Order: sequence, then C-alpha cells, then structure tokens
Amino acid sequence: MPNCLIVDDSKVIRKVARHILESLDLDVHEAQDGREALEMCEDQVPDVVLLDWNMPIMSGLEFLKELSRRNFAHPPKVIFCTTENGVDHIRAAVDAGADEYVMKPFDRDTLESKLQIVGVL
Amino acid sequence: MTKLPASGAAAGRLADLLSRETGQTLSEARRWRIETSLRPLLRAHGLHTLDDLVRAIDRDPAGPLKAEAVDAMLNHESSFFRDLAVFQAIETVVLPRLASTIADRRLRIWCAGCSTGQEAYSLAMVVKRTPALEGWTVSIEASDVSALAIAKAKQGRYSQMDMQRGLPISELLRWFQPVGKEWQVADELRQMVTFRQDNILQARRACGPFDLILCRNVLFYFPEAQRQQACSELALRARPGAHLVLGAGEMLGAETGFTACRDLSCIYVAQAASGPSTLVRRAQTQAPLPPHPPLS
Ligand SMILES: C[S@@+](CC[C@H](N)C(=O)[O-])C[C@H]1O[C@@H](n2cnc3c(N)ncnc32)[C@H](O)[C@@H]1O
Repeated sequence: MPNCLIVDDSKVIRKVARHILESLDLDVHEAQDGREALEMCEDQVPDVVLLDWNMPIMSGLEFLKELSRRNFAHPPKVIFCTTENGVDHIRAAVDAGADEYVMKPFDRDTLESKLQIVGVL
Repeated sequence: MTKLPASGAAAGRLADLLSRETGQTLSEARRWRIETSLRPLLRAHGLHTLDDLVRAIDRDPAGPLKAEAVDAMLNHESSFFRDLAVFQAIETVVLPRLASTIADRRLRIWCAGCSTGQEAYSLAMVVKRTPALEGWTVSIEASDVSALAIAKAKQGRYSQMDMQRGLPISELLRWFQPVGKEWQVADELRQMVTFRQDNILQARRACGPFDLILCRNVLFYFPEAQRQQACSELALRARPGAHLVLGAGEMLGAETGFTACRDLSCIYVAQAASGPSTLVRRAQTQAPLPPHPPLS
C-alpha cells in the first residue's frame, strides 16, 4: 500500500485529504508544518507528499529545498497544494522540484488523477 | 380544452426526443434524472414544469429550445487524459505502431463523441510529444452531436476544475495561458483539431478513412441496435489496420469489424473488410436522411 504524507497547517484540509486518500487505498500520515514533515521523511520516506504551499513554520517552498538537500535514494513525489492559480506561482513550484499541483478546494477525482500522473496509483 | 399531460408523460416525450435526436435511451429507471438535468434550463426560460417545456418546444419546433433541452439531457462528462493508462498505451504503443506502418507520413485521427474537447486536445498534446510522428501531417477531427459542447470545444477555454482533473502540470505550463479565472489552450493545439457537430448514427459527411478513432464513453449509452449502427459507422470510416479506442470497460463483439488487441485493453483493430473504398461508395450513394418528426 503506497503511503502519503499530508503536510498542511489546517486540520480541516488534513481531515478532508485523509478521507479521500484512504478511500484510494493509501496509507496516510499527517504533519502540520514543513519542519515536522521533514523529520517524518527522515524516519521513513513516503511515496508521495501532499504539500501545502503557505504554512507558518517552513513553507512548502522551503520544505522542497530542504528535501532536495537530503538526497534521498528514492525521494517522494510531491503534489503541491495551493489556492493561487498564477502561472508564475506554478512554475516556481515546479522549478523547486514539485511534480504536480492541485488547487484547493480539490475533490477525489482530482487527487486520484494527480496520483496516477505521478505514478503512485 | 385539451387535457394537460402528466409530468411522467412529459418526461417520456422528452426521453423520446433525446432518443430521436441522438440515439440515446433513458430507461424508465433513469428518467428521474430528466427533471434534475433540465431544471437549470427551465429556470433560464421561466418555465415551471416539464409539461411547460414540452409545450414550449411544440410551439416552436424549429427554435433553439429543442436543441438546448436535448443538450441538457446528454452526459458530457469528460476530462483531460481521462483514463491515463489508455493515453499511455496510445502514446507508447499505438502511435509508434501506426507510424511504422503508414508510408505517406499522414495520420488521420477521429474523436467521435468528443464532448467539450478535452479528449481531442489531450491527443494533440500526445501527438506533439511523440518522436515517431515528428515531421508528419497529423489531423484530428472531433465531432459531437451537441452544438453547445462543440462550441465550448472550439473555444478551448477551461475552468480551474477542468484543468486539474487529469492535466499534468507540464502540459498546463506548455499549452495553456490563464485568462481571468480560466485557462486558454494554445492556438498551436487548436489548429491541429477540427471540431464539427455531427451525429455518429447519421454521419452523412464523407469523412475518413481514419488511422485512429477514439469513441469513448459514447456507445455505452446506446441501446443494442444503435450501438451496432454506430459500430458500422466507425468501421466504415476506419482504414484496415486502424486502431479504435473505447472507454474503460467498454467492449465490442467480433461481428463489428474490429478485433480486440490482445496486449491493450479497450483498444481494437479494424479488420480488412472495412476500408476507404466502401466509404467512398457509400458517401456517393447515400440519400439525405428525412427530417425528424415534430416532437408532438
Ligand atoms: C460521456 S461523454 C464522453 C466524452 C469523451 N469521449 C470522453 O470519454 O471523455 C459522451 C459524449 O457523446 C456525445 N454523444 C451522444 N450521442 C451522440 C451521437 N449520437 N453522436 C455523436 N455524439 C454523441 C454526447 O453529446 C457527449 O458529449
């Protein structure tokens, strides 16, 4: 069963995402900010990270930079999650190493299609 | 004064209209959906009930309301790269296979039942990134019975929700520009696709022959006789060896003129009997179809 780490400071978003991801048969873990997420990745690298962009402690962008510094043998796929749809914003995330993006609010079909695109499903 | 038909009767009349215009049937069990799908149309025209709608169509059978009602009863569900595995099979197996068998470096593709265009544009993106087709002339014809769906497809503008269902980020950055809250597909892709309104069951125009046909999630809604008719229309327009792609879970029998690909699910190959000569003969001899009877 592939495992997914949800990184978001909003409890509601984590709950909604967990519900969807579990219904897609993923083993789900949660972190409330980038720093906690990094620590969890060091314990066990997940297959995929659903990463919020704007978080008070270590933003999504900082998390991605730290993640690439870790040089994991099998780095996780990263789907970043945002409320902005500007091209510059999306391009910046891709340049920083994100594999895919979703816009909030998202639904099951959207997450499923993104997980397929990154090869987790 | 004539007795007003009950709502159930109006739903039946509308289901008949859908069937006459598109070949699709709504079983008795699914008729409850009619009211739900037509509610926005009723509201937009200040009508209260399905009976009102039937009467309004009867009063002006040639007016736009009839087409709008048919449109609202159709299921236009689609998304970019819907069933990703199928697009991967098209990209990695079907297109290279076709490229190795076609001598004149011209590839003709037909999306039958293309809805609002996502399928045809997804194919155009795949074609653009397929090395085996570099330097080829590739045309994509896309048709749907719904004029409204075709108008949206031609425009090539999609909501954020449409975009994130299935469109990979790399393709979004390469082929789309934001316009307000929506996204506009690039002219380079739009120029590869010709959209037209056409009914698969009465495809009167001499189109084809095609090397690759997609008819996904369309046959499913036809009753058996119409499904067979649609299959012969597809077979007529497929050159021998052409590939036909159906929706996930859709299947065809051997009598249709297509044989299932052993290595690829939902993909079929046209047998030798169907081909351009049949098509041309048919196109020359076919008489125009009679106009549809009025709704009432
Ligand atoms: C569920 S959508 C599928 C769209 C797309 N092929 C896909 O799989 O994403 C079915 C489409 O078939 C169209 N359709 C239904 N009956 C048709 C007919 N007789 N001729 C052409 N198109 C038809 C509908 O208007 C609708 O847009």
